[in-house]
Amino acid sequence: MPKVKSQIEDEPESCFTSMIDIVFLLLIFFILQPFKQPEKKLRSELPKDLGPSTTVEDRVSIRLQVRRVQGQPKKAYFMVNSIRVDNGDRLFMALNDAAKDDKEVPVTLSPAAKVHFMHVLKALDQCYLAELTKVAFDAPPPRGN
Amino acid sequence: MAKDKKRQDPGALSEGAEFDMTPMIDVTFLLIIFFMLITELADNSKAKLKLPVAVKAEVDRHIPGRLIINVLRKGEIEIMAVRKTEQELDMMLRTEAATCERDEDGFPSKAIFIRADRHVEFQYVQNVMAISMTHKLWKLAFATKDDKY
Repeated sequence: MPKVKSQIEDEPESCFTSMIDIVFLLLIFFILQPFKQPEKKLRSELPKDLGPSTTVEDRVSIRLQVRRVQGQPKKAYFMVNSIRVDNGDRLFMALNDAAKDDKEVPVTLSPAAKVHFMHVLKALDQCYLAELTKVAFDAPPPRGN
Repeated sequence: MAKDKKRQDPGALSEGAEFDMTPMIDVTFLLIIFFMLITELADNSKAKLKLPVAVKAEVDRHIPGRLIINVLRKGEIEIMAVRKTEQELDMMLRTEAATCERDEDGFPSKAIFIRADRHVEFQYVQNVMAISMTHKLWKLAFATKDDKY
């Protein structure tokens, strides 16, 4: 009998405490991970001067307007030159059509004052998706007006 | 946190000292979580906003010296957790433009990072852009977020 007892004592024990510790820590880590929202950015440029040479008529080949839908303040539509586009995905196609494979064509983004910012950024995003990189915002109205 | 079995069993020490890595890993993970949370909570330059989504956005790496301007849902301007009027922003950008480095064309090279709420009316963002342009601060970026979050 004593021989059997010593054999049992010598058997290695598996201690789960440390494993549970690390599993819990990893669990906390991955639960908290979504709270750390990685921010991204869309680059843009403002006109370097406000002189008459920077007017839309002189320089722009594509004029992209963002307007608010009447009676629906949260919604917006886009105008690519004179073509109305209601959907952001169609905007990509409309921009491609307007650019006619010329990716160097300058685009002037001209959003309405009351339109929600997300629609403006959507328009900018679609320009970059269409690989139109020369996007500039229309010169804002003089301050004080 | 981890149970140190060796300390409870003095006989084990005589058989040869072993280095238990488990508590060190525990503490390391805890420190990582602690500093992750602290850096996130202590960053007062970024107001809590619902950012717009963009597909072609690039990862925002920290640019030292750039000015972060938050535009809240109702159009308020906030910089470093302090509300600013348009006049105050104007004065601030004037000082920034006067003191920062210049690019090869002689324009201020200071970068402006606009964090605007997705539902704010564009006119408020446009005001910030107009003030930036008045002081020839042309380098601009808009904060966005990933679709999955």
